[in-house]
Amino acid sequence: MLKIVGLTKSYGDKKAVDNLSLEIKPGEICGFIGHNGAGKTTTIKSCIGILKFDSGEIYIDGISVKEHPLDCKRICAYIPDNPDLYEFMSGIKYLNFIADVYKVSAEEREKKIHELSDKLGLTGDLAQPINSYSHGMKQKLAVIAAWLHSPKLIIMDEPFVGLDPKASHILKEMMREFCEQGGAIFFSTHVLEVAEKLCDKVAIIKNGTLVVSGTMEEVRGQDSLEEVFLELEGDNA
Amino acid sequence: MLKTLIGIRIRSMFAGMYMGGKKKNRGKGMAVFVLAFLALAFVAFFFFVYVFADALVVYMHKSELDWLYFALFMLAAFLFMFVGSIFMTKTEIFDAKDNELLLSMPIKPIDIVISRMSVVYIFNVLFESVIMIPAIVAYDDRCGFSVSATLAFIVVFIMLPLLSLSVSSVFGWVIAIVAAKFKNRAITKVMASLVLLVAFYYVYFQLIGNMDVIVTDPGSIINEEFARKYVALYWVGASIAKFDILAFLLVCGISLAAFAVASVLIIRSFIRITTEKSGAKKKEYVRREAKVRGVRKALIGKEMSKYTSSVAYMLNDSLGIAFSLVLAVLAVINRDTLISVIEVLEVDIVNIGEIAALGTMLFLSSMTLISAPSISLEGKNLWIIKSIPVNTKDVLIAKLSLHMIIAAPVAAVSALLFGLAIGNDAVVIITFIIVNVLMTLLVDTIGLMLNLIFPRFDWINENIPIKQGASVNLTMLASMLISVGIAALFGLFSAFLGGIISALLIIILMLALNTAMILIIMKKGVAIFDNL
Repeated sequence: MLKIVGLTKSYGDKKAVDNLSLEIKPGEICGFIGHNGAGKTTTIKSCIGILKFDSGEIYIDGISVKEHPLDCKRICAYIPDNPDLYEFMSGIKYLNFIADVYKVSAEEREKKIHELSDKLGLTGDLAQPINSYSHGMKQKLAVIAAWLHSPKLIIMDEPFVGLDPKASHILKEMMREFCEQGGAIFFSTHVLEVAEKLCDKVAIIKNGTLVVSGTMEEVRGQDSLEEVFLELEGDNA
Repeated sequence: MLKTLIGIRIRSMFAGMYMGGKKKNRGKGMAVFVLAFLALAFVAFFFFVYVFADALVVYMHKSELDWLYFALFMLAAFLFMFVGSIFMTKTEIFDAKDNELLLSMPIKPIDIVISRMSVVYIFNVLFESVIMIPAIVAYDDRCGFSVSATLAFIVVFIMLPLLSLSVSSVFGWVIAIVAAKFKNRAITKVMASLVLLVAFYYVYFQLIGNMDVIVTDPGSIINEEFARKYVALYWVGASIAKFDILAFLLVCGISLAAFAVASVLIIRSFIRITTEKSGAKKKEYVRREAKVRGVRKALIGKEMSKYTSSVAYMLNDSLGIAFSLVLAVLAVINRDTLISVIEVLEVDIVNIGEIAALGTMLFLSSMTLISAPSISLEGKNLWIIKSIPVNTKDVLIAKLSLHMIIAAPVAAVSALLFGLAIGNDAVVIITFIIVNVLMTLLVDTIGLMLNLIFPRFDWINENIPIKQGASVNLTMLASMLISVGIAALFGLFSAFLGGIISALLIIILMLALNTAMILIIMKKGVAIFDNL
């Protein structure tokens, strides 16, 4: 579903991501782990077409992000690390805007919006302006917007930040359910326990270079993910 | 700490002029270009005021009305400062996004407020300079300046912006108090601002009610009587012209006292206003069938929502709309007077009335700048438009459309009214309508393109892109120059080619300029946006 081949992106002289390759198949949840400034957000933003990269290729469902960015965006959804949404809109207005852009029919959006907002406990606040939302509420709205158009791939940057324990639990369930239905998820996190429990695959990035990737079992072996991560961090320190 | 805060605000203010997107510094070259353009505009405005001041100073000095000369220019400067900063004050002081961050630090609220007021003060001084400096130069050229008068002028020059700042701060404070109760009702805020502005103009014109005698019948002015009638103005003028110590102390005292009162009012309520939650009731969500829109309509709807939700955006960048309508209506109401003035000015080969009306109309259209901050206003939300499957052309067309939806109907109506005010010639009216609508489109496209070149996404206060951004200022100045140029060309063409051919040539010229701008945006602009 997502194939990254030799991705390289520099900011001036600094290589933020260096020759990174990774593949995520339909039905897989892949956790992307790395220290602050390792290159996670740069990789994620390149995948969704927000950032232009220097070399390499990214394919979403076989479509090149470089060649056909709009086609890729149509089958993708993205949740950034900080849900800065249109504060001048109400929650429902924002969701309808997203639904219009992704050409979601009236019946489909009606069904999805209420199903998802009921699940995340946001229905009562949909008429409120987003500028009155807490960080967690904005995150929930971003989650609803991402699921709204039934994408094939969801890319998320630190999706659990700001969510209360209940919403976190629901989001994990939604992620698992989404992948059981054939979708794929690529998300970054610093919460290694979450990655360990939720992910089928894990990729660890350090200073822009992918240091290890594979199934959870392959990566951690007999150790915990935390031990593996700290060991890898120490190795190259 | 106060010094640091002021430094941050000033750096942020000037960085807005030439910083690019993603905090990319465009370097000294771009800064020099922007500053050179602003300097050019300043010089043009300087000469405009100088010519007027030079004509006035001779007569005023001869009639020993020097105090009135200074008072008149100070009054004009005060109006300019007030109108220039009124809508900025509330956003600058109460709506900055870093208010809560700063309040959480060990910084005294008074330092935060004073640093914010300093920025407004600097703007007031800039506004004051463009009126007062040419007036002073003209006076010095004709009459000379004593040392005491120079010193008095410098002090009054520093004091007067404090008075204007105080009045606009109190206005901002009142609006902020009202806004805190109706947090999500932007229209209420706009109405409150407009009501206060109208009240200000009412008081202002009541004060200067009969001063048109200066122009209509200068010989009837009796110095002492006039000084008694306009005593506040006399203090301002006499403090410089006669170095009247009492008047000087009164002017300084009143300015300082007004500033102190405004500061105390704001400092006392700053924390409450900036941290107060909306007093509005929670809006209940009612399930209803959604209206499905196409992508372009959805994007225009998004732009419209942004526009109607921001008081600063509506008031600062649409002032031209209000002025266009008000002046056009006034022109129709005073049609007879206008026509008689035009008849006096009539030259054989050109119609002065048509040229003046065209120039005024286009000039007013240059003050509507809705598209000019629209890229910067994406701010931290830029990721949304970049991550959804929308064509960049559609995004830019939506931004252009918003400007046209709001400004074009007003441009057409104001052109119709101006056309009717100066005569009933159908050709003139149709030409005015077409040219004014095309001018609106030109300001629209210039604004968008300049904002693509000078975007600013890291603002902490909407005022930065809306009012202080390089794109907004450059668009207004460029458009004003174009409007003057178009009116001059129309005059030139009509002197040699006659009305209909000149009208056609101007329309063709405007069409060509617009086509060029649209092509540039669709090619170069799209590429710039994709790389933001």
